[in-house]
Order: sequence, then C-alpha cells, then structure tokens
Amino acid sequence: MVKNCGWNEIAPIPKYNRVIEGYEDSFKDLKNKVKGEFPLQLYTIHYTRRTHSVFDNVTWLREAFPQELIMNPSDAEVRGIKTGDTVLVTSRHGKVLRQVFLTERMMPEVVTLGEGAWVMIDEATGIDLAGATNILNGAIPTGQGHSGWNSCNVQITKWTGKPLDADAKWPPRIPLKEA
Amino acid sequence: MEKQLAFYFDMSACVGCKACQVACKDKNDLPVGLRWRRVLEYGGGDWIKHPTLANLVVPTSVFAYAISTACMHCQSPLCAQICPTAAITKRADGIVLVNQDQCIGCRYCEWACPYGAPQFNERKGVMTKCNFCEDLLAKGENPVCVAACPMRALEFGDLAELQTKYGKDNAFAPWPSADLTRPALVVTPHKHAFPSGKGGGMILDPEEM
Repeated sequence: MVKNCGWNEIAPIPKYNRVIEGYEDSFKDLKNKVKGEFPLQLYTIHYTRRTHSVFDNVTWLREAFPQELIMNPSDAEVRGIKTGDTVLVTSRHGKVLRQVFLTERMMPEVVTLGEGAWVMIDEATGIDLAGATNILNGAIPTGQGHSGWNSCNVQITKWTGKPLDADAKWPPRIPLKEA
Repeated sequence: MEKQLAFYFDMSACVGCKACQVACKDKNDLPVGLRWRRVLEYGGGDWIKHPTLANLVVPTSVFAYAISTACMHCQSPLCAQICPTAAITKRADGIVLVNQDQCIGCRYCEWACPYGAPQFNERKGVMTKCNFCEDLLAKGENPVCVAACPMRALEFGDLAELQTKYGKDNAFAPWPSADLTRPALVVTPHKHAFPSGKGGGMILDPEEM
C-alpha cells in the first residue's frame, strides 16, 4: 500500500538505504568521486534557540543563538570564508543567507543549520534572510526510513552583497500585530 | 577580609545551553549587547586524510567545551583599582559593585577587566556588571544563574569553603591567568580543558564575546 502511494519501503533487516539528496547525490560522477554542483550535505538540527519555530522571535534568545550555519574550517578555507562572514547557501530548491560558524566538531563536507527559523524573504532577490531550512529542503515525500525535509545537498559561497545584521538587531516580529 | 563570596563552575558538566545567560538578562532586564553572564565555546582540533582510503577523513584531537563567565568578584579587582571616581568598590562579603550614581561612564574598567565583566549601558551612560544578585542573597535565595542551570554546573558560596570542596583550579583557556586579579572562582575542568595561556584552540564564537 505504501508503494502504491509512491512512497518507499525499508527492508526488514538492517541494510544501507540510498536516500534522495544524500551523499551519493552530492557527486556529479560518483565512481570517480567528482563532486557536483551541490557538493555539501546539509542536515537540519533542533536548534537551541527555539522549539521548532516557537520562540524564534524572542530577542534574548536571538542574541544567545544567532541561527548560524555551522561548517568545518577546511570547507570554509577553500571558499575563502571566515567565522562571522555572511554566506549564501544554495540548494536545488532555494537560497538562504546566514552568518557562518566554524568548528572542527563538524565533519568536513557536512554542514548544518537549525530548523524552524521564521522565513524572511527578500522580495528583490527571492533569497530568505532568516535561514529557514524549509526553503532549502525539497518537498520530497519518502514514506519510511528517512525524511526528505531534513536534509539536502547544498553549495556555499561567500556573500558579496551587504552582510546580514545579527538576528538580535532585527526589528522584533509579533504575529498578532502582523495579522 | 573574613568572607569572599565566589562562584563555582563545573566546566565538565556545562552543555552550553546559555540558560544562565538568559536568566541573568531576564532578572536584570538587560538590553541586547549587555550580558553580565555569558557563555562562550572554546574548541579546536583537526581532521586528517586517511592514509590509505581516499576521500575518508578522520578526526584527530577534536575538542570543544563551553565556559560560563560572569564577574569573578576578584580578590584584587583591577576594575576597582583603575576607576577614577572610586565608583567600584568591594564589599565586606567580597562582592564587587558599581555605584552608578558615582560612575561617569569613562569605561576604563571595561578595558582593565580581563574577563569583560563591566559592560557599558549606552542608554544609562554608566557601567553595569554582575552584582551577584545581592537582592536575592539578602532574601536567602540563589543568584538566578545558579538557580537556572539545568546541569547544576553553577554554585556559589564562600571561596574557602568551595576550595575545600572542589579544589583550587580557576585558570583555564580562554580565561586569563589567575595571577592578574585573583578571581573568586573555583572550576572543575572539562577533560579537554587547557590551562590559561596554553590553549590549543580558539574561541569559536568571537562575535558573541
């Protein structure tokens, strides 16, 4: 029945499942290990600023946790990126801007961004300024085993336009007022 | 001085959740930019290419730990020594306080303090800093950072008593050497913690300092 809906199934025994937009999809030529247009794996974490999207507008929490893109210094070095730089994150589905945070705790060629940020699209460019991972992830229904909305392949480039202000300095958003 | 109030920080337990920082901001109603207690991440290490397997990298000595820093209520407070109007004083119980009526906002103490504890309130035009929640202490309650810590990594008490209980360690990177100001602090180090001045890593979030 799951298959009839177009979703995948998982094996009854533990074995490797190739996922959509996973490690293999970051290569143009997997056999010869030639990286493609989106060479980095991005996965999303439950970010410490908020519970999913709840409390994202609390200024003290925005100051404590700046919704940074976390990556390994070796990946940043080849792209000419330093801690605190604004970077453009591009996936097959969308683009976001974020400040970068470099740490060796992150595995090379893997980056992470917290899920649940409140989307703030720049109307002129179509780029999301808040770093909402739903902009980057595709609407990929998968069924079992893995969730298509939690990871994707991305490319990261140094942003040459105006650097992003820290989130804590943005005007506070209050939903009732916006409605 | 018969008494010296001090903080105890269990670096090995701290997970960097910043509950202490936010609780402090809440209690003292601090604007963005002022953080009397703040949490920084210190880390380093390296990844190397696997000697035989192409495309495989392996971590070597990757480490990180969080430090929660507030005013150390030092035994030789540089801020009080440098203050031209004597607005910063050390009380009999060891708490270092800024008298904001006397402060002229020259910010010398901000430069002097190696822990970044005195912070300038631009709206008020005076220096502000951790006051050890003296109002709560007077009521017999804990300072809010101590009360908020979900890992119970923060404690407070008399310095001599804390030293008897937890030892005398108080200088780990990226904090400066304890010789500078003799901070009223006792630390249980993280297993990867470096001594002050011998750090093998860097502050990972310098914009948050």
